[in-house]
Amino acid sequence: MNDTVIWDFPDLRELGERGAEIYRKKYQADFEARYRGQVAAIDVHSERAFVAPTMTEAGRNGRAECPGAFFYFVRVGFAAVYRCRR
Amino acid sequence: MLVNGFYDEKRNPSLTIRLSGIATHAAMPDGLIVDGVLDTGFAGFVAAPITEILPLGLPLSGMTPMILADSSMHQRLAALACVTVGGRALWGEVVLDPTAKEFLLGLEFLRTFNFALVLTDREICLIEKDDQWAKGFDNWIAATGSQNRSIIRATP
Repeated sequence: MNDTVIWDFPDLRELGERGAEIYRKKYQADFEARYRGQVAAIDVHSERAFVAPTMTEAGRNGRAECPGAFFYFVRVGFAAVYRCRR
Repeated sequence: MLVNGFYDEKRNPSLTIRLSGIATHAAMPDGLIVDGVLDTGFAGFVAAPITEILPLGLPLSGMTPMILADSSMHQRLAALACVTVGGRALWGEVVLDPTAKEFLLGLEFLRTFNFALVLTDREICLIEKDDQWAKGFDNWIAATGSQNRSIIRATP
């Protein structure tokens, strides 16, 4: 399976883009001043954000407040949450 | 707790784990038992080939940008999964990679399970960092002198 197959589901792509836009507009400036290096989980529906040191913890915090939410994860101050060297 | 890993055929340090979801899936009642590569170059919890993990029916939790080895950036789906190692089961965010051929266990995996990773040329041990481990580590430092302490502190 390749990327093309995954992106044939337009709703998923839209959800990701929506999450990135919410982060840019509502949280990026404030979070980069306060939480650099931490992971933010943005609920793409309620637009609430949850910050924690790891993706697992940010997701756990988010699910406690917004069960069943779909999150856009971002590492504050960096382009990606993870870098994979393999 | 001490868990033994192994070197796979490519000499990657590896560990056998069990992945499962919230509900037991009829096709995989015991979850999915896989060998994952211990990759300290990966900061995440677990990265999984999407084709192998789809049958588990894990709930999608979100999406995240990820930078690959060639410096290209891609959006990846994430799913909530239960990982069992040495009888301990903990939940974490698994990144689903459509291009991956192997499971990766990253730094967040080691932190979540509170493991210290010990590698030699033949052995791989994951030691849970409980009070006993801390005491043994302190004793080792005391026995080997202050030089080792400075080396450890210099290591990020």
